[in-house]
Amino acid sequence: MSSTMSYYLLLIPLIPTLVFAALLFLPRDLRNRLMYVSPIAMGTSALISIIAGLTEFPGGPYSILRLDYRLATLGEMPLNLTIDVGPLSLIMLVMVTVIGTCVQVYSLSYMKDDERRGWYFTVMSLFTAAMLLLVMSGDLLLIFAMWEIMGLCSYMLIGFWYKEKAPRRASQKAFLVTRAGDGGFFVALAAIYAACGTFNINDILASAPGWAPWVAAVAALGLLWAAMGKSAQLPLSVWLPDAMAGPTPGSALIHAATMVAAGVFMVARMLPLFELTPFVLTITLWIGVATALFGAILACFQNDIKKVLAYSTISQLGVMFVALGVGSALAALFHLYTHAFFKALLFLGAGSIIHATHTQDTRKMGGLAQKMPLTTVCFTIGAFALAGVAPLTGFFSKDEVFAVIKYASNYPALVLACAMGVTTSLYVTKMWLRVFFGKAKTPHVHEGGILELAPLGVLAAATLFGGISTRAFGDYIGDIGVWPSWYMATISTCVTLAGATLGYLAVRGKFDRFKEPLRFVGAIMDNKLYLDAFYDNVIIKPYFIVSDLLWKFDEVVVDGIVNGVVALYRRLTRLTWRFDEVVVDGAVNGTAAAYLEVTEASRIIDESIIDGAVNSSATLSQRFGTLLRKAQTGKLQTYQRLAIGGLVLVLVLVVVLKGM
Amino acid sequence: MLTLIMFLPLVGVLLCALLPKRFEGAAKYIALFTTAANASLAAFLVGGFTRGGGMQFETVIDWIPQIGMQYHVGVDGISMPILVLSCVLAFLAVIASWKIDEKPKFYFAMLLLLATGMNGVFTALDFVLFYVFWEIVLVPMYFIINQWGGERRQYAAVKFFLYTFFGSVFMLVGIIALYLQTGTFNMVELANGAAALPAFVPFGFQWWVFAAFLLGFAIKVPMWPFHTWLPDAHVEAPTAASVLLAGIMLKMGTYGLIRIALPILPEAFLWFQPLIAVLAVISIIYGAIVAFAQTDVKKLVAYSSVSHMGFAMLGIAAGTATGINAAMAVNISHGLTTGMLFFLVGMIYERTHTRKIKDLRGVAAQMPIYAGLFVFASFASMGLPMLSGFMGEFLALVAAWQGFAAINMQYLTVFAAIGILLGGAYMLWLLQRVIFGEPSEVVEGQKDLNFREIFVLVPLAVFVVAFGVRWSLLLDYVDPAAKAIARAIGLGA
Amino acid sequence: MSVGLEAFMLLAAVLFALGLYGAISKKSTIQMLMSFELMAIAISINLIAINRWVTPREMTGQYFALFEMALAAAEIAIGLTLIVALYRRAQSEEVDDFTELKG
Repeated sequence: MSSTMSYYLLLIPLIPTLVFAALLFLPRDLRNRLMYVSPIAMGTSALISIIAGLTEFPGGPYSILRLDYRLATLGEMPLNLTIDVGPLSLIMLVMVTVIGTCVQVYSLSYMKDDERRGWYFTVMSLFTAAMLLLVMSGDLLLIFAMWEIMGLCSYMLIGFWYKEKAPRRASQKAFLVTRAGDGGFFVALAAIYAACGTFNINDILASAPGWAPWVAAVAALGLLWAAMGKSAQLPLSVWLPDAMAGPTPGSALIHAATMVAAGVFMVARMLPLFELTPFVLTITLWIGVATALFGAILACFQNDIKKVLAYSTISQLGVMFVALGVGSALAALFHLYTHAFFKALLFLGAGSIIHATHTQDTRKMGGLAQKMPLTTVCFTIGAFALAGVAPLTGFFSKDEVFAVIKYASNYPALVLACAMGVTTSLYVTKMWLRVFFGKAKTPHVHEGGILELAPLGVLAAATLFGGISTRAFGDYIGDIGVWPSWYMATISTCVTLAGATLGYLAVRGKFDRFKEPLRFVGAIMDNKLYLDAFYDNVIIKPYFIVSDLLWKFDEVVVDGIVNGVVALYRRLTRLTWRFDEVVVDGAVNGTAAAYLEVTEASRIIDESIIDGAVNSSATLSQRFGTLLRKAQTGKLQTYQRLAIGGLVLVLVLVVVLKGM
Repeated sequence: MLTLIMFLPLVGVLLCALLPKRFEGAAKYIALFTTAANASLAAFLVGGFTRGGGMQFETVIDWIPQIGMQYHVGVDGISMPILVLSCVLAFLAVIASWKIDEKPKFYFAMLLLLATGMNGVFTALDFVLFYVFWEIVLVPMYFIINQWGGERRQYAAVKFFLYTFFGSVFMLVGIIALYLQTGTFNMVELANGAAALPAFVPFGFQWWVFAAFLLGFAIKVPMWPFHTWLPDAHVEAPTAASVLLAGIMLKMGTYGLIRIALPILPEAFLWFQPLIAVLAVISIIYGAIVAFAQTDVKKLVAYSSVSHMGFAMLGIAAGTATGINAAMAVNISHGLTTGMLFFLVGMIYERTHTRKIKDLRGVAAQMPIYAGLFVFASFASMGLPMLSGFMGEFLALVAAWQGFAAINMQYLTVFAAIGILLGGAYMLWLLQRVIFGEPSEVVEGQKDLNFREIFVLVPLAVFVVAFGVRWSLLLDYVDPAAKAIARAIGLGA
Repeated sequence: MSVGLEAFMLLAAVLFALGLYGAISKKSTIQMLMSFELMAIAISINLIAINRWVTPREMTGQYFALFEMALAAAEIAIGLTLIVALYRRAQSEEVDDFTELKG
């Protein structure tokens, strides 16, 4: 047990983050040229993780790195983002960095002709960094933050070829569906914070038994819903098959190490909270069972190699949820761990195959075993691990899940799990036979370069030899595993063989005669159980209609009321105006009219008597005026003469009057 | 200091007015220098601000002592961040308006007058002063929309003016009623008085005054169903006006509630709490749904504002310190992200002369920098963690869950969370149609952003990231003041 | 013989009468103006003469005469200006052409 904090572990997420930050601001050409930085950085991170993983061994539940970053202080409580690295985080770090490195190295070859390859690596770096920080996180808030950033990255990656329609739609769908799940995360976080005032996982789990049961149930259900979105569980699984629209190595990363793993990882961390409310666990279990079966059955009906793998991912994630549902974080995480390796292997292998054959349709492939032997070997290892063939990793982890189901004595679930195993084996066999054997249908097929083969080799080796580590895995993270018994192993092997036989028969066309009578089944399967149609018709289309209607409502009713009030007011003003004109002014006018009547009466008296006098005087003055007017000639000298004449007259008068 | 910040733009207005017609073009330089000076003053303000120090930079001068009116300004943790945002956005708005060449003198004078008004609202601590600035803001905005707006600008301008004026009249009634009851216009004293003596105004009276204030502020926010002036005003207004309208003026409503209605009338607030909460949630969901149906990018952003401001109202409705923190966080980050979005919409409009979603397509292939910033702003507005939008919306939900426990309305939190999902829906749908895909006819051949435009956007982006990764950059200022107000309401943390 | 007050006053009366006659009868505005000057000079002579014979110790009359001269100069200046302005308007200096005051 180390007493000091291993701060160097911070480098693991920091290096890819720095690569992201550096590449982000570069112009496109430079970014493309510098894309090698990204896998190298990831490799460095992987190296650090592996060294850390080895030096910290043997394990147990403890922290080798605890770091609080104060985001804010609310009230008296600091709101922290906590990094808390324990053995579980270490294992996850190793897994994510190793797979991340493989995928990125592979991408160097796969993406080398894309004009935006630099951007691709930029997003990949951020994606991986977010996942790394998520598994190192010690509190739900940081998990949620990284969770969302991964959502953004998957959006960028799935919609990488944004000029085409399908990737655009798929990326939007992926983001929205997982975002729908995140609504649950929001509510859960609010409930948790209200209940205990912190997001620190250890503190939450410590205080959770004291909460009101319904609060714990709301929190657990919210988290479950969020995980169902991220880990593509029914009914939120619809985004994952479409997410194939992105570059294949990107899908490998999404399906194996990052995005979908986050949901399972989060539930596994919070499992004690789930255990407080058994019915939530039961829901988890049955959702897992349903998803596992659903995915496996649909995978059987797919011909697109990437679609088969996508549905198998959904199915395998369902298996992990089953493990969680019976309360075994260990089994779920171990399966997550092994699945990550072989699924990454399968996707990268599929990428090579697609590159070589220029088709994704398994019916158009065939005979690749001779043309691409190395790829075939690697892919076969992955496929057998998926089918659960001993002694590959998939065998051990699946048996572990079967064992914990049996341990929980949940026999219905066990039976259904076995059915899932048969189906899985069936579609794997079917795909494997179709792709690698039979007649070669595509010309000019050849192996990928070393940059493609090396990652495949690494992942294949991990899948080949990782299986023996079940117990070590348990010891490492401090959980007691149930070692699969011979009894379980026998059942499981029988299941695999049964499936393989069926698969062989299917490829041979032995079931073709059922095709006609069972056509409706095929139709259902082709339409993915109508889940997409359901969302389209029940949620998306109505939403378009509702939003249009609501807009109309807004413009017509809400705004209409406002405009109506204004119109009413204008009507009112007009009415007031009329009132003013008719009544108020009318009164005035009426008074005036009445007054006029009175005056009219007096006018007659006036005219005859008073006016007579007035008029005659007026006439008189008018005449007089006319007379005088003549004097006004307008000529200056006339006036002068008049003035002087007047003066003389006055003087004469003065003299005359003085004389008298 | 505050006085300088408030009146410096007014000096700019005078200078613009005195400018001879021949040098009309110089108006933008005057505006640039005044707002730049203002922004740097704001930086000093932040530097000199003591966290948790209550009211600071106070100036009190008797104005009309006969009725107790004062020139009283000051800032605390609630108003300081918005004031700074206002200064910064005004500066950036001037830069973004550089290409305005129709009556530049008048335009920039109005822009500066607007800045004075907005800064005044956020610093005034005297009711009359507050009201005066509140009304001053309307006038330049009216002229800007009316003169430089789009096709239906007259209708929009009149509607904007009358609607908000209608609200502020009720506010005035509230102010006068409070004055008649208490004999003071001093907002600080009133708030403190209420804190020390909750029963100092009778409940019935409180109820009426609160209702008047609520109506006035709800129109400004705007809260459903009083929001319809907003889309019209936004769509018709020129870019800079839209930015300031969404970035600052909407905040006047929430600011008013936090500063006035809550601490002065706590009992009435508790009565109205469920109503505000329900209306807030309706705003969130309704705004998001209607935004989804829009065909005009700008209108979409306008409706998204209704939705986002709903989160601010949700925080306020919670009435706790966390809630007020949340409201302030939404205010600031909405100012930043929506400011960015409006700037971006304006920039594409300048190039293509259309804002119709169906005409724009494939911007990413043609203008990568623009597209990058657009996607950034969209995700920030959607509330992606590590960007500022998340802080406010997340805290609002947390606060709602805590605060509504007392009124048994915790289920509203679930609806608000659905609102976040719907927020993602309209933004992604917009991105898919406008940014991605093959370039459409009008987008083909357009130049990417130039240096000036990048310079407008980058400061906002930097703030968005900074607040996103370190909430304390904002909340350490807000939290002490928020706690003081929450104490006044009596709901605690 | 000594020249008495009466002689001066007679001279002034003659001058005044001449001026008055001119003012009333001349058609040219310029001539009218000159006639006004004659009348003014007559008044000045009267003032000085009366001052000399009635109150010889005081100079009141002389002052008034000087004042009157200044006034006459100003009057001429303004009068001429007005005439020029009128001429510009009506292209005439005949006083009978200006009949705008006709009632």
